[in-house]
Amino acid sequence: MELDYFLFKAINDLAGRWPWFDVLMRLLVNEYFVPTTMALILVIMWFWGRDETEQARYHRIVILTALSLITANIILKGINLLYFRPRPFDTYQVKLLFYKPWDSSFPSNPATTGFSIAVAVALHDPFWGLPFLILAILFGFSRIFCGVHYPSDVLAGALLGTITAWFYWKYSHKLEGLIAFIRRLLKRFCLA
Amino acid sequence: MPPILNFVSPALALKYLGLCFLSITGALQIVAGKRGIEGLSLFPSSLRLYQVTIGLALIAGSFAFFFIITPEVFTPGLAGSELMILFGCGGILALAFSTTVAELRGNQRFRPILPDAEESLMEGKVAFFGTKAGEKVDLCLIPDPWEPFSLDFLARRLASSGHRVAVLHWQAIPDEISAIAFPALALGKYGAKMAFGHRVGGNIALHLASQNSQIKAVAIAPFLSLEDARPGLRWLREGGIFTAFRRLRKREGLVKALLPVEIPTNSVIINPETGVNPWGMVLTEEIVKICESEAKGLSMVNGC
Repeated sequence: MELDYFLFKAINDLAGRWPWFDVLMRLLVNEYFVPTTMALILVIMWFWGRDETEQARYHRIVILTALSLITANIILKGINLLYFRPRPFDTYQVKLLFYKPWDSSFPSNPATTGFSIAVAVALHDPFWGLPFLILAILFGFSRIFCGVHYPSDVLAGALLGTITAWFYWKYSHKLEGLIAFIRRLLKRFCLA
Repeated sequence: MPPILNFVSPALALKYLGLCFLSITGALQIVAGKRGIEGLSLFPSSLRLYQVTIGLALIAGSFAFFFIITPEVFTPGLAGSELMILFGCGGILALAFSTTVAELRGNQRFRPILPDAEESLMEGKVAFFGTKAGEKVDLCLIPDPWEPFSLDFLARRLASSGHRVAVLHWQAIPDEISAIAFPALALGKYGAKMAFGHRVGGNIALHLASQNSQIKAVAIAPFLSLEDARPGLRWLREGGIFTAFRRLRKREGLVKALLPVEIPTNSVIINPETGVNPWGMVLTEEIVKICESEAKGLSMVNGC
């Protein structure tokens, strides 16, 4: 716990030193910028395939990523119901660059969301995965920088997202029927 | 536990929906431009070079606009589940908007070009470019029955470089018998030794070449499997989504009748990925060059 606070303080103390960096972190920390950007890249990926084989591969990645995201968020909600951890600003004096969220600090919701998407894409396609991973890391970092999460919250969220994504990657062959069904359904509307 | 959906701020929800709609429209323009998906494109193919830039500008602009007009971003706002739902709604709206605009724009893509002469044959019409009606021609162009004027531009280009060209203008969607009979009759009557077909026209050209070794075929984006004729994303490369649905049933039947097609040795099939988009196809110099070199080869073989 002390290490957690020590790391939190080390990162949070950087806030207010460079105004441009504060602006960047404030852009990243909110619930809109990073998730929407990630979702947009997934939309582009969906249509990116040049031929049927490539399209099938990208569609598979996007579907598994969506499943990973949904599953990780369900598990997160479950953990939130069982365990409540106060936010850093509830306990300590922090440099707060964001509003005061009232829900549990552990595990970090944005880190879970970011990593469940980023790792799911990166495991299937490292080239496309790289921008997602960068966004997920920045998203998690910005939450500590702005004073709304402890590093352990972000780490736990990242771990939860990563494990969920890995699970879907490892057992994706068991979901081929579902993936084929979703594609068949969307093909009828010329969308797959 | 808080409710999953409460949309604490309707104004914020509306602004976020606007952001999703505009940015997804931008994303669709990027893929439409990069991958030549006509059915998603808000702009004609001639602007394809700029389409990616327009798409990126739309995304950047919508984000900038959202963050400028939304100070509530830094107050408790929408929950994750609400964001997902709004993103989905924005996506549906963007898709509906893009496909509708592409459809309306696509309806005006192919206009007939005034031929040098024209005559009726069977249930169709034959347009002559670079020659008079009823005279011998070097090439017979067979457009897709659903796009009867898509090859007029190419015919005019070939005529301007000295070729005598006949274009078969379908007056109605043919059945499997007249789909072969009309071009076969035209080729015989006008002495053309080369059939150049696009999409289903390509299948017809290949059929004619496999039945008659004297005829050479150039097929652009023919249907090489029945799966190609079934609905899917590839349909949007060709045109609007509503057009695709209108064509669906009859086209699948016609393609089924024209398959399996044996690809004759004296035929050229042009990569469907470059050939699906007729605008891209007719404007491509390479296609004209292939067409010209094939025609020249035939002239030499025939000793003309």
